[in-house]
Amino acid sequence: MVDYTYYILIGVILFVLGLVGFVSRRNLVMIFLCTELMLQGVILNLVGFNRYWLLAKGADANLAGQSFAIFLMVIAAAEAALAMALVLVLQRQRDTLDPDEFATMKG
Amino acid sequence: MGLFLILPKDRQPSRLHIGVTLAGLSLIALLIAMLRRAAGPVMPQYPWFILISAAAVASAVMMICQKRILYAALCFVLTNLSVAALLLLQQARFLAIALVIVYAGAILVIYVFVLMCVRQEPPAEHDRAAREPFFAVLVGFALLGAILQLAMTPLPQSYTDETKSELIESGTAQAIAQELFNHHIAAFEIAGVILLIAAVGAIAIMRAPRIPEEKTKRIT
Repeated sequence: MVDYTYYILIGVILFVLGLVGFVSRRNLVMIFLCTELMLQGVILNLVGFNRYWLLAKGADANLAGQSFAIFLMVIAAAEAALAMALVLVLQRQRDTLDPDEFATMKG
Repeated sequence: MGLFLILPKDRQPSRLHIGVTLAGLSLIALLIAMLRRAAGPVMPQYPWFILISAAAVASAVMMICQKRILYAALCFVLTNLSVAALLLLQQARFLAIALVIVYAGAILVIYVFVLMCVRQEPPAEHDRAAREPFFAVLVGFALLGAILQLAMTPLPQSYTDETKSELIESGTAQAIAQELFNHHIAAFEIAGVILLIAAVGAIAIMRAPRIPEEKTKRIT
């Protein structure tokens, strides 16, 4: 029916779309949102590969892909909390969300 | 696979109409290419997969093209739900519901909350045009081609049956819990500690003493 490569394809497309948005948007919160989009693509990839493993190996396959996806969600939650705290503090200091405004260490 | 690389995509938030039509055409071409390449018997789940993956890619494209970030966050919620539906198709049921609850229900609520706090009434100057969109899309295409070259190797037909019993019984919370607690217990505990550290760190960031002369710049 649906080859596992198609799930990988959708995961890769989501990841690349997140990467394109990450590189080309000029708003701090948008950059973090595109990071989350990249993580969505990675989750889809992980579960796709895990599905292939389960179907190929049968009884002696483990669920490493899905448990790693759970850890990924945990890390994404921690990163989102810290990122939003940073954004709030930076917004209060410079009153702008442009990442170019914070490039004071550029040579 | 070269078909995917020729598809045109335009990503400029300040010229939205051209971008949307081109992206729509490329999405339709992608779907037609996938349908033509589908070999073997078509099971009843296939049109669902096409529909949900189209919704996921379309909402991701909409998300990175939005002018206002709040609408982008809402498009991202739609992307989340589509990815959860794709996970459901793969019989990863616990993970799909966990994705909706944790990601769309908690992380994106944080994002929307902060977006409400830092809202700028006219779309700000730095939001109106993307930064170097042509090179960004070029790099994205190169990466896409490189990854797809390696990843797309077709498999024998027996690996595509969704109703195999191993797959169905592997998606439950019990199976994932067994895997987590039998093989990854250390990582599980460390993940809890990471969450605790993140919560403490977020509070510490917010309570750090500010520089006195910057206080006059705040909008009261």
